[in-house]
Amino acid sequence: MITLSINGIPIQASEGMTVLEAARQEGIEIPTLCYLKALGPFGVCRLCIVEANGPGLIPAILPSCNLKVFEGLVITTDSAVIHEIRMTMIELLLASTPLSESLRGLAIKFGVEASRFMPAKKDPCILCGLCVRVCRDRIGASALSFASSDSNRHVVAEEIRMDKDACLGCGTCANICPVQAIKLEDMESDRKIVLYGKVASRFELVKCDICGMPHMTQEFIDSVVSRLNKEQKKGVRNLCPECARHYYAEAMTGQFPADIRGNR
Amino acid sequence: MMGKTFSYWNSKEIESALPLKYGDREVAAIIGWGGIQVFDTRLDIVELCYQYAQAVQNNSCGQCIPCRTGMRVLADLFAKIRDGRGEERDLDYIKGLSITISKASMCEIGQSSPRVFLYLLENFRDAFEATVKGGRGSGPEYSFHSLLTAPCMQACPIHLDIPKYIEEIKAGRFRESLDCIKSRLPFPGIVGRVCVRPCESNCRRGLVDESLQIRHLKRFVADYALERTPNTRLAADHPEQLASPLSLPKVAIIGAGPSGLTCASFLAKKSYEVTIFEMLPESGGMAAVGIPDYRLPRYIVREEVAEIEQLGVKTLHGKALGPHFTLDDLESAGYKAVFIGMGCHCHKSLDIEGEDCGYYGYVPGVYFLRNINLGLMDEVPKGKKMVVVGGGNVAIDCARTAFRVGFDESHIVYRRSRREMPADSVEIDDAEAEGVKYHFLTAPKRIMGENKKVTGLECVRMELVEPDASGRRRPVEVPGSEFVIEADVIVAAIGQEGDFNCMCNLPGVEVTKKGAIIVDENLMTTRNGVFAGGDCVTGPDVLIKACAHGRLVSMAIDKFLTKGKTETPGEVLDEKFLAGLKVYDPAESIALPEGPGRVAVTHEHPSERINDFREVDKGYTADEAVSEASRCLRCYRLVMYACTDDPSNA
Repeated sequence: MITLSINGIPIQASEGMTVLEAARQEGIEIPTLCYLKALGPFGVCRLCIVEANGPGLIPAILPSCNLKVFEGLVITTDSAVIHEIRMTMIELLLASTPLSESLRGLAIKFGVEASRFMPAKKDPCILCGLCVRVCRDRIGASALSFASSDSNRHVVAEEIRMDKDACLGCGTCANICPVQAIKLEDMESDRKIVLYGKVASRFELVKCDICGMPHMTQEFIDSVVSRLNKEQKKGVRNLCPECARHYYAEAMTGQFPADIRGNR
Repeated sequence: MMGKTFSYWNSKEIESALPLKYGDREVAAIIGWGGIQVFDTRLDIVELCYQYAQAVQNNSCGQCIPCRTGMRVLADLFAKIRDGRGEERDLDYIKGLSITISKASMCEIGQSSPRVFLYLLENFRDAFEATVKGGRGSGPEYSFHSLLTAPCMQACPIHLDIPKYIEEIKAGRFRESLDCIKSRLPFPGIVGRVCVRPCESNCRRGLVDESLQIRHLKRFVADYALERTPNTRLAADHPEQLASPLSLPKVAIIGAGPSGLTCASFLAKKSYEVTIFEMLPESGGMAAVGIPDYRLPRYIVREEVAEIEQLGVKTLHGKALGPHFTLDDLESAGYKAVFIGMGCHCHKSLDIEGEDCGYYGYVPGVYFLRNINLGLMDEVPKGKKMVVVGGGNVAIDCARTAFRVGFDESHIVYRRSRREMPADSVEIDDAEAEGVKYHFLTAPKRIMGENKKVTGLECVRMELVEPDASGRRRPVEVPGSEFVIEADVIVAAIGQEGDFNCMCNLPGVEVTKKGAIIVDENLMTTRNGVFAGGDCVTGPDVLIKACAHGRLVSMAIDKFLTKGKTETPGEVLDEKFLAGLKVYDPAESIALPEGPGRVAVTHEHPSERINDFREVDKGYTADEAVSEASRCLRCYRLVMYACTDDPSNA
């Protein structure tokens, strides 16, 4: 175990943990926008900055999401400087990106009433990269990427772009987006993935074998099935989440249905 | 208006700094990562800040919020003040934003750029307030030019955009990363294996823990593309690289080495009809015949050469300047420009007794390597015990190659200590792991022989005294310490010299006393239309420098053939200008905790690998490359200089 101090309180954390994880474990709040445990640190939203000091360290302001704990580390999460910088960043976000619930919540929490700034050029979203990373690292489709207009070669992130041929229509990006810049619009069997208000990809949904409800795209099902082994593939059923629950519950209680009703 | 000239750069205030020049132009002021220097007091400081903030914003990668949006707002605020719409509180906003951006940004461009605003607000607030109250005064018009660099980029002789191609690796866009490298260098696979990597010794990560393994990252993207699309890399997805009909004038290149091939590749992309004349049966120059295959496999060289030939470049092998043709021949054959890119294949002699006795078993290192690389095994002296004299990479290459061609023992004799050895430290360690025995502080005295065969090397112990001109401590003999190392083969590898015999008779091409070709700053020789670069100009030097020369010559030849004269390319002026600004400061202390250190590269086991010429380094896997790339601090640095538009000043 490693002992560090956060806001003057000695804290135990295990080796390899980040300061953010150690703080959250102790119930100390540090705001984040681009961090998600399942995807690991990314370090672009900068809201999780803290003051760090300790043996062998020049006192600095660092993001806590990718700062690993070490013995004797001294962290301050809520100093006046940190608060000031964080407020400024929230103001910048409010002024440059479309207003959303999560941003409004953040602003209220940190006492930002209105932004002092009015940039002429606005961003289409907060560019936190959660959608890009989940699509690449978890779904394995890499349909979303950061993109920029080609005029400037050093710009990495100006907007999110969708490669509709690579998209599987799973909708994870829409679920993960903290500012609803990507939305899922399902109408009967028609699924649209809407990015920045424009249809980015379109799919037909497959109907559940039991209840007939359109529930998922064939592309996504194929992608999941392709990762299963022979034995696992035998257990694949085309069911909506609701029917799947019933089906496997029945299986577990021993009343295994002879056949799936929809297949008859 | 600043009211005075001053210099504040890299945290140092200099009262009377010497005015800077960009090429021939007087610079009115510079502003950048290191601070600000003002030489023309009429310059409007708010305008300068606005232009700079705008340039930073244009070069912000856009990933983190403080830099992406903050710099945008800052630029807007400076524009507002400049245009006379400013308010007193705008100055406080600028201060707060500058603190936020410099403290909270992800990479160096955001962290370093706005610090100068804090300095200016602290020391010259009056100048800003005057503009807020009274608007902008009248003064001369200036033009503003921004230069983006990074410590690694500036150190790289060919100025690869290293942070960019590393960023692409980090994001998993390996193809884009390779494209970025290839836009300046046609040999990512070769250079990614054998570069002496000045970038890594100028890497700021090295000031935190260990520098990035930039060379291995470059090699990774090259290998990744090669594994997936061998031989056809150009075909489908890079139509723009396929040579359009070669319609522009004919250019002759002498020597298919790194500089000649680099030059050929860029000229062919511009549709020139390029012919290379090479004296050896194989293209690649020293990359092919000077470096053993266990460090640089031949198929890598052949692949990258083939790629250049696919652009329409013709290579005529077995054609040497002098014996087979002359510069006049080329001229009468209709070549409008010539590039001499010959290498240094001659050796320095040891200057000791026994050297001229013609003993079997005494051989210069470059010949030893070249004969093995060309498969001329009959020319390679046989034996069980080899002694190599020298401390550079060629010496190490010979000593390690010895095991691979059947020697049981391999020794290196070097007159200074391990610390002074010019060879790559990785190479020194790898050789030791393979069983090479070092004799440091030992100098050769006499080559001993019997029956026209080498039998041993008489050596003498040395000790180091005060440093000499090279800065290394000078070795002197310890009297009476002579001893003999038995040997079947002795290899001399204490340096190369150019094979300039043919040069002496090149009409119109002047050479130095040592025989190096004299060129002007655009690499043109004293003969109009004949250019030279690489080792025959610099003397024996590293591969990446030869490539850099080849690229510059391609630009010079293009200018020469389109405009009838050469002119110094902007990037050469940029480089010179930046060199004066200390892009890398080894004394800088960086407020970051040590990370996990570099991702190790796996090697073939020494006992296995010494039996054949298989490649020793295995290179990175994709996952390893991504995690190594993630260590990059992305130290882009921006500087802007202002010049008056007054033509008398231009």
